Amino acid sequence: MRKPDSKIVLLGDMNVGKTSLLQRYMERRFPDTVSTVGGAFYLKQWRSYNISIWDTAGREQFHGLGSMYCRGAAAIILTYDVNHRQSLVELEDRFLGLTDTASKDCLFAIVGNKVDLTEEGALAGQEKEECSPNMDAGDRVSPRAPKQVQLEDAVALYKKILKYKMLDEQDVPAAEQMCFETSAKTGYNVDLLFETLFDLVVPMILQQRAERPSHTVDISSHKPPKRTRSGCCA
Amino acid sequence: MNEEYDVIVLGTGLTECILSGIMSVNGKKVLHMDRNPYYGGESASITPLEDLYKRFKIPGSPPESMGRGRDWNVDLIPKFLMANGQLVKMLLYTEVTRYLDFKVTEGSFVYKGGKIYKVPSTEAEALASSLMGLFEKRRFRKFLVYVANFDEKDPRTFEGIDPKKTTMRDVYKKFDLGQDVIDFTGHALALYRTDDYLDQPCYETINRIKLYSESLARYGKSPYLYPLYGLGELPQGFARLSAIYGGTYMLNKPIEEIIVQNGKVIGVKSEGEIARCKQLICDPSYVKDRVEKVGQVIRVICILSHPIKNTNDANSCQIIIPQNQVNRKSDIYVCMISFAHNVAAQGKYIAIVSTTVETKEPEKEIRPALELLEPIEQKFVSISDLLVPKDLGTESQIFISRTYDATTHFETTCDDIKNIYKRMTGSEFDFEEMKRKKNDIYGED
Repeated sequence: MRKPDSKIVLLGDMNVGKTSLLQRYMERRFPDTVSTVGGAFYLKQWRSYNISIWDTAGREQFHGLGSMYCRGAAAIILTYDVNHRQSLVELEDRFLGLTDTASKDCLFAIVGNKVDLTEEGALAGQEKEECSPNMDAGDRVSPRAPKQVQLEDAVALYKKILKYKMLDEQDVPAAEQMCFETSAKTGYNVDLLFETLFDLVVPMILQQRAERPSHTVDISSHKPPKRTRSGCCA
Repeated sequence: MNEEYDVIVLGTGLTECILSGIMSVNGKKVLHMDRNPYYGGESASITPLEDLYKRFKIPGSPPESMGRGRDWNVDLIPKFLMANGQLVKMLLYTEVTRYLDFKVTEGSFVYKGGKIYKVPSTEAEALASSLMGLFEKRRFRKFLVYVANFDEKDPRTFEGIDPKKTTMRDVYKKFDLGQDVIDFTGHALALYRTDDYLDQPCYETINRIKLYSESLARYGKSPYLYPLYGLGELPQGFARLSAIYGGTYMLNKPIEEIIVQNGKVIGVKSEGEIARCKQLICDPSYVKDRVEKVGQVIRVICILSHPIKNTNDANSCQIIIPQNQVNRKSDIYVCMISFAHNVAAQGKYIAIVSTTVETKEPEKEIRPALELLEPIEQKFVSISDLLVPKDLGTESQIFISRTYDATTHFETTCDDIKNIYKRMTGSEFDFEEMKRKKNDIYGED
């Protein structure tokens, strides 16, 4: 495995659909039951760069995430469920502190998933029906509840994060650009989310390379030299 | 919680996290808990710097000259990875390397007659070095060629030496090596801390010299690797492996009781809930009555604003002070890393002195090492007990790791892991067991 050029991580409460989002984008599918076991690390080739996308392993979410998870991340996708207000609250209460180890100029995306389950999402869902022939007819006509979390709430959180990180609004992408409502089930806005981030991350890779050539060694790619009779003089 | 697991692990030190990873990869249902809010236990890297001051009860806050607290990740134990050692092997088999970045340590030095000398890393350096005389160098080279060619499985490489019987003292005699060379070989290459090895069969020493040489050959500058952001990244990497294979992780979990019935562990009580298990792994701090003290280690973390003198301004290095240079029984080690490894603020260096305690005044014992580091901006002194389990866990199914010793590598830690694995499973440890059982990287070309 070649070392990725950049790292994007997903954060959010259990059951907000982080893994489904990732699988929808990477594998173009929506699995019936989702378990993060076996699917915690994705590599995306975007233009000539390799971007790693990290998902929390299933049970890491029981307060088991350490400093390594966000270490050096170029972008963090903070995910909530538009039908559960508490999942947005948790992003600030439980997950924001974990982002301290991310890159200094880390980008944040606020993503409200499961929009297909809402009244407003019904219209959004229709756009993609052709792409989801497997959907049961029942899904289409079942009554949908109004959203519990509005996009304005996500925008407010984004601005709160900028304050927490002591970032100037002028120096980072606008809140409206970084707040998404998605449906992993229908695929609504999923491509837009990931590809927006990929495009924003690429210039960061270039800047990083210019600034700081790293002298790290890749221990997994180094082949031991052929043994010589003389051995090395230690 | 309130569930049944195959294995419960208490403490997220490196030993525990590696075992947790191995057990999960092999299909065991694992619950892993730590009373601390961070990973690493005694092998953690403490961040921010304010927490280090708090931990060592230094009054007040770090001064402004220390920079941003978040830039610091200070190791509690001073160690490097041998580039060809067992821990690197474990990282490779588990592919935990994908979560980590490493740098090669810039040099290794040995203390002699009050000065430090670079341990040569090339033939040119060896010829130029004043660590030994010219004629000794020729005999030493002959000895190293012998070691390089030595193959445990091929008696033709033994050349009249019986690896299981001939003492190392006799091997040195056979190659006509003088005391300077013997000291250098035993302490700077084989990394023995005492001279007890001289009267032991030579195979272990030969293998240790081979490990050093092969580690040095990998990258050419020194035999040691170090992870960016500190050694505390290592347990987290293995913990993530375990989590990906279904392990449950809970930090900040107070452990009220380990429940034993009829002499066998049946579970753990935490915050009023009970998790049941067939086997338990833990570090000594969770089972104080089941371990015994076999010694002590002193570690002094020193913050500097300068590289160590006579190290060619190295950003990282090891210094070995052989025990006979300072009239001790055990060697004193200095491990130095710096801002170049993302463990300190810009322009700052962290040098950690460590050795086995021999007297009632351990800080005085390490004075020769501290003198090499002056001026020191801040010192953090700890003296830790060396704890080992009282029994093998056969009856109780409680398997206790050993605390970290004064060595500056992880070979003894890996030996402990292999030993615990064998006692838990009944099978000899095999690195192949660590391999991931399914493809869990997606999108790779």
